[in-house]
Amino acid sequence: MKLKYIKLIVLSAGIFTVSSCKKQFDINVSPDALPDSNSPIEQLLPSAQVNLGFEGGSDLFRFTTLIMQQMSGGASQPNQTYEYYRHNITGSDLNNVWSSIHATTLNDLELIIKQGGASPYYTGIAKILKAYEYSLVVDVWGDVPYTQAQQLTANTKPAYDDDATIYPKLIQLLADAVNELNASSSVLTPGANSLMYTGTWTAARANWIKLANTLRLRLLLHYSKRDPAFCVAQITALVNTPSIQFMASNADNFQMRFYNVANQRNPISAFEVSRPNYLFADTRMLNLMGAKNDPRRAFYFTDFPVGSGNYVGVSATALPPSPNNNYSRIHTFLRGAVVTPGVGTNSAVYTGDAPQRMLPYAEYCFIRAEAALMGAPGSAQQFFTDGITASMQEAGVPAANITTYLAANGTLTGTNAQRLQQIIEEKYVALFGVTVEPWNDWRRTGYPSLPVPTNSITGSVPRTLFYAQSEIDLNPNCPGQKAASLQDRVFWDN
Amino acid sequence: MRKLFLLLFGVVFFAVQAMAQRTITGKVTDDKGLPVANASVVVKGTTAGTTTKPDGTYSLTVPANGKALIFSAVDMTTVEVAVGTTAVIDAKMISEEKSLSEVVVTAMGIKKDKKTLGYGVTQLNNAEITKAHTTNITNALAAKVPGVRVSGSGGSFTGSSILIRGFTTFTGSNQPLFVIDGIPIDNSGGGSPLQNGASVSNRAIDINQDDIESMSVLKGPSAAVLYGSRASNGVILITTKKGKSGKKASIQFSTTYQLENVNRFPEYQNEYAQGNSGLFSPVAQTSWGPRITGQTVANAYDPYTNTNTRSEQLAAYPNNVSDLFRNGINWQNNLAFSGGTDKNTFRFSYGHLRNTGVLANNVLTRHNFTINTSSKVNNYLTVSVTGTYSNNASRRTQQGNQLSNPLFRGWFTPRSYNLTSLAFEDAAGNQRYPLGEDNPYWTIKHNRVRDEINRFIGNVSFNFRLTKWLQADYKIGTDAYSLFRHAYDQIGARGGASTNANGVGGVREVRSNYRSINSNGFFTATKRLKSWTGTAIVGTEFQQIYTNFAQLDGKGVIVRDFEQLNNTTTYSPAPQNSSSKTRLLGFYGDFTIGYKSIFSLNATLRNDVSSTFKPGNNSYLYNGFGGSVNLTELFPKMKSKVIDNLKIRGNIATVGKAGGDFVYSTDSYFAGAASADGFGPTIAFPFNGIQGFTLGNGAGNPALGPEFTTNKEVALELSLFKGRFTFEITKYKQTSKDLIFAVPNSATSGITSVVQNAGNLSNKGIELGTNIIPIKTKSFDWTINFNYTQFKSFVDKLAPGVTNIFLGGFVTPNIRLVEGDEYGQIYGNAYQRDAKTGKIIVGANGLPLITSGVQKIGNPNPKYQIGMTNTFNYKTFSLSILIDYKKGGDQYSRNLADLRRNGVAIETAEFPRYDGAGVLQKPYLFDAVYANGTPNTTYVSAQDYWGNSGVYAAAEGFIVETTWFRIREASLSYSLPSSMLSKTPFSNMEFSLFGRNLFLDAPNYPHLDPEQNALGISNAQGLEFNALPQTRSMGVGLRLSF
Repeated sequence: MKLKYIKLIVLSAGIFTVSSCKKQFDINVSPDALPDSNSPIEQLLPSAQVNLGFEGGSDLFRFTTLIMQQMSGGASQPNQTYEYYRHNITGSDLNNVWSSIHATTLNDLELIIKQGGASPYYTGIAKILKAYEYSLVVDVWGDVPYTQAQQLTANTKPAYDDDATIYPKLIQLLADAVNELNASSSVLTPGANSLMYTGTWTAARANWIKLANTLRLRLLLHYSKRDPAFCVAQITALVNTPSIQFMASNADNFQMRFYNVANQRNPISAFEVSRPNYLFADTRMLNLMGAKNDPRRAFYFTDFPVGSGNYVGVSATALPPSPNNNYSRIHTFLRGAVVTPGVGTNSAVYTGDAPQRMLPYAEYCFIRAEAALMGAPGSAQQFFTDGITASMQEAGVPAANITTYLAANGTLTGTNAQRLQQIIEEKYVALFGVTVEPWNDWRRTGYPSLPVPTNSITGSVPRTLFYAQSEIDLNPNCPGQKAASLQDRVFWDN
Repeated sequence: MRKLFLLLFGVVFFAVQAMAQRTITGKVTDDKGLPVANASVVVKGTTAGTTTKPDGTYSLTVPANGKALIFSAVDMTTVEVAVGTTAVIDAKMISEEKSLSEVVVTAMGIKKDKKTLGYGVTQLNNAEITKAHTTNITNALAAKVPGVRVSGSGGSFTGSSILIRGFTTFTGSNQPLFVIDGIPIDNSGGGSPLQNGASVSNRAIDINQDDIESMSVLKGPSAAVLYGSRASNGVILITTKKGKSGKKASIQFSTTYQLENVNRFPEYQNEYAQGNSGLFSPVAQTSWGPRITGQTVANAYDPYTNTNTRSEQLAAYPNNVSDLFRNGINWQNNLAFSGGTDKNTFRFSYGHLRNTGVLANNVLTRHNFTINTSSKVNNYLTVSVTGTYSNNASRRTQQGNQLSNPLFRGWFTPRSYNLTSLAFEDAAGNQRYPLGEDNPYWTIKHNRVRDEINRFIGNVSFNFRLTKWLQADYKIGTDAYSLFRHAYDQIGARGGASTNANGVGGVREVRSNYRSINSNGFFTATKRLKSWTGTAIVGTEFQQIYTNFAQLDGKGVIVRDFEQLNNTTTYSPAPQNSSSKTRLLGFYGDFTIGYKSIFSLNATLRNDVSSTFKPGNNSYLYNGFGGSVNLTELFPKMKSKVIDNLKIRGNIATVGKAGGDFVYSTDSYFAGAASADGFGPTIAFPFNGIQGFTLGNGAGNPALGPEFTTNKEVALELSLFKGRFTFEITKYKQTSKDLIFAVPNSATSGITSVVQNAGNLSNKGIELGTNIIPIKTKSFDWTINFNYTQFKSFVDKLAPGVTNIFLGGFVTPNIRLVEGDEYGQIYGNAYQRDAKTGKIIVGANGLPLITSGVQKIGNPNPKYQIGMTNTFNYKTFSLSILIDYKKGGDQYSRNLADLRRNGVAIETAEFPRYDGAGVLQKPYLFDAVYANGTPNTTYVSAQDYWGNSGVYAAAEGFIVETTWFRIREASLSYSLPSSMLSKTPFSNMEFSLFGRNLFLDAPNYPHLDPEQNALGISNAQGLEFNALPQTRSMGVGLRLSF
């Protein structure tokens, strides 16, 4: 080879390398992900529904069911539930759920609302779910960002809204939702993407509308303590409007279905599998049911020892040495059918396909019963009976047992306060597995009365939860952490 | 192609010429005049040759056209002597160490005289690297190089992190670039899972140490600026062994066999049984039960009927934990064949390694095939071909914070539970264990992870000598591998294992590919003008990296132990199935001018175009300047009997970084929907046949640009007593700005982070290397090599409004970057403290009160590190001991806490827990005050003191200081003297005894070896969470050449 040729080769190799054109470097778009330029609203709705359903059986459920002593972590030292049960729920413990609610569920819903203008059936459902989710946020934390929330990179530190101003907006959102669902046409129709209410769109749409209206009742009822007159007037106006439909049976329950398939199981049941011995029955709930020989007990809890017919709970005021597994556990009502029975202290295996209930028909009945007691239309007694019946039927109690129970416990008696106690205590049992609402009832009415766990670090039952530590760290507009006693009150708790 | 083929094989076959011959004799001596035995004497350009006898003499038949003889020997400079008319040719050879003006390999493989460098480079040779024959080459660097911190994560083939001169970025990789023979290779992996799966190796583990000639550590931007965007964390430059020209073909064989065991084992109490508050409980995790007196209890349970009615005589089982571990075996074999003529050189090698872990079912097997050839095609062109194929397969065990990790609770198995002998499964393979987690034996046997990597690294390079002063180099190479990882979770697993299958069993398959192409061409011009030397290098480099990753989980195993995906009922792909392609084009120049060896000045610049940014931000220029002055050359009067050499050097250099950890971050994307809350429950899509998408919580940013790291350093090099004492001290300051990270923000905006160029970091450090030869005689010498490393990395600025970045861990504890503080601090909740005295505040019960929020509770960064190698050579014996001292550095130790709070550590039984009458004893008193400031007088029991309401009430209680002194490596070798070998076919035979982690003293860290890290290779250091234990190894070796 002559030197000349070698020089030529070197030169051309150099030029080849250098001459890579500009286009070769504009390749920084992932070939494996959907770009954000176009929202897939048909797939956002399933994501939002599943996440919302999941959240219904996740952190907030555990915190509130422990606070409300439906379940206990008092025998589960050193697990987290032991700490939660003694009201040691730190700001950091709320990071996950805070992020999940705002950055996943509410954000997916907001994208549907913002970009789904041509598809009012989608935006209508999204608005109902947003109102539901936001009401939980307000009920738990009080002041939170609302008007500046969900603006993505345009505003990464939203200002806070007074919680009293958010509720009316949520109620309005529900009214708007009903209008949108009643629209004569929609480019996209949810069809199978409506996971919470299935069937034909006509049937599902009717269910969604009933939910919107029932949810309005729930929100209005929350005003009972702050402004009873307003509460009664608003509920009266609503229930007297003939065109407004409410839930009418268990078929209308607002709930998320889960399946007996890996990674599609009810989160409460999945928690029991991955974290056995974190939750046991609480004597507060068990005693309330035991005193009335409540037939739902056999569906709510396992007996201990298995086959004994005895239900054993942890007492908040007489905590056992931990850990101790000799207690009743969550049973079929929240976990689905038994696949393999439990032995000794080992849990049974369940299908895990119980629905995650968020606003059952029974709650509607109890809302109406309480409203009627306060002066709204309807018979408190009738709604009381209907609520118990619906709850029993939902649990799978045979009709004869329901009749027996109603005969012994189904009559409202005494003063209004006593009747209210009867209603709320029945509601407390009926809403086993429903996130946050039993706690709301307790904060509004004081029922059922709760003993303070002997090792409580707050010294009294919390009336709010801490803001997520991440929010304290990252949002300079956050008003600051709640008082350590957790006795700050949300607006309707005054 | 055909030419290449010929080239490859041509080098192996030597043309033999038969011509008129004559005999030449002579004697070969060394610089002391002693005979050199076994030196090779070859006629240049032929294979004709011989070796010298023990007295140094030789006799060789030389063909008539033989022009010159080439003399070569181990550790000697090769000498070429022209053949004249004389029949006697004596040769004098000098040992290589002395003759070397210390040529080191620098960026782009350019060899430079260390004397003239303006920056720090440390080079290790093969012998220094392979003393302890570690499986992972990364570990072989520990304590050997000033400015370098190597952190193993426990276990012999998990990941190990290398940090050179501190951290340069927040959440991206801080690991240096690995370059083999000029081709950048991938060293990803090495992370340990926090919640699921097994830990994996960093990919440098694919390298066979025996193939390495030398390793240069280029520290920081100054030394590495030519490597551009990937070099801000420094470069580990590996040069593989080549055949040597003019050396007779030879075969080298080596084998080593080591035993490994757990380096440090906890001391247990064997006095108290499983239970709580003095009462026996068959389901308690803890050993706070009654004193073991041989009483009969209804023990754990009958493993066959799964009931807790079996009565058993209570006893302690002192070895119930240690029996879980076995001796690991590490067996390495290497066979190489190498040689060369003056035109062609070659080396082929095969390496085999098999390393079994200290837990059953853990093994790594590696095969490496390597070829290295070089051929002078003509006077102008040299072509070299290098290639390594490696196959690396391993089996591993579950790790992390999960019930399927055998060491999650295995370390504190109740003292009275006969883990060793009680059956862990029934005949059908169903697990039998009364406690909540997976039985350690069961999970080791049944929850399995295996992986296999097939990898090729190679290049072809061309060197053109265009004129006397100008040459061109062009190299094109690749690093390509495919990885297959397979995990099987048994039916009935209680922990998440690999797939979080909730006990129904699962199969996971991961397939990933990595492929890089690197093309690099440059011209080198060298001109001498009287005493001036000028060198200019101008070149261009192009690199493309393509990766893909696919993961598929199957859940609901049907037939036990049939590990196939089609044996499961539901399949779900990972949400992160992905591929990525990045391109980087660089133009660079390096200009050096020197006057005699008195001073030199160097300027480097490079412009990169990176595909990871949008056009407009993707082209960026940076540069470096350095200089050195040799004072002893400048002022020759300074030279004395004491001082040989004194040099001062300094430089300032900046490197732009492409942010390869943030590929595709210039846009935001929708991602597959899912739900999870960190407790195990998980929802995967498609959900009941419906697909879901959600907007990713991390938003992208079209305005992203490069990160820049600037290093300033000054150094002094001193050599005394004719090189018997050399000393090098470097002081540096390094600042990194525009650091890219996902800046977290309020989730109420709908996203939780936005990727931004937001932060600044700085490093300050001093490093010191000295080499002392206190004794040197004919037959004995003693060398001390000492290095000192000290650096601190500070987080100078985070994004506005961001006070910290969560690097890893849990709600409490976690590792954070906090503005204004040192890098990677440990945060967690703490004890409440009295403002006046600083003492812990206790409640009326005598137990500490804790803070509700988290605060800084520890600093995992060591204050300084010292490595010291003492080498003693006596005749052909050589003894070398490497001492590794690390001062400071905190660790959150969950294992240690677990041993104590569960009542198994020996100190928990230091005092009787109960007196003879069974009354609870309260011998412990916290040195604390009550809330009102009066001293604490409330004594507490052992269970309270060591429990979750006592010492371990707050994360602060878990913090332990990790200062250690260890004998990191030691080796004793003996080579048979050449006089004994002369009658054998062997030219070299060496026996060795060696070991690693032979001694450990960690004064503040009881029970366990502190060298562990829950997160493996990660920027988050300082959490220890039930990881595999560090091992100690001891072995024997044999090395043969013939």
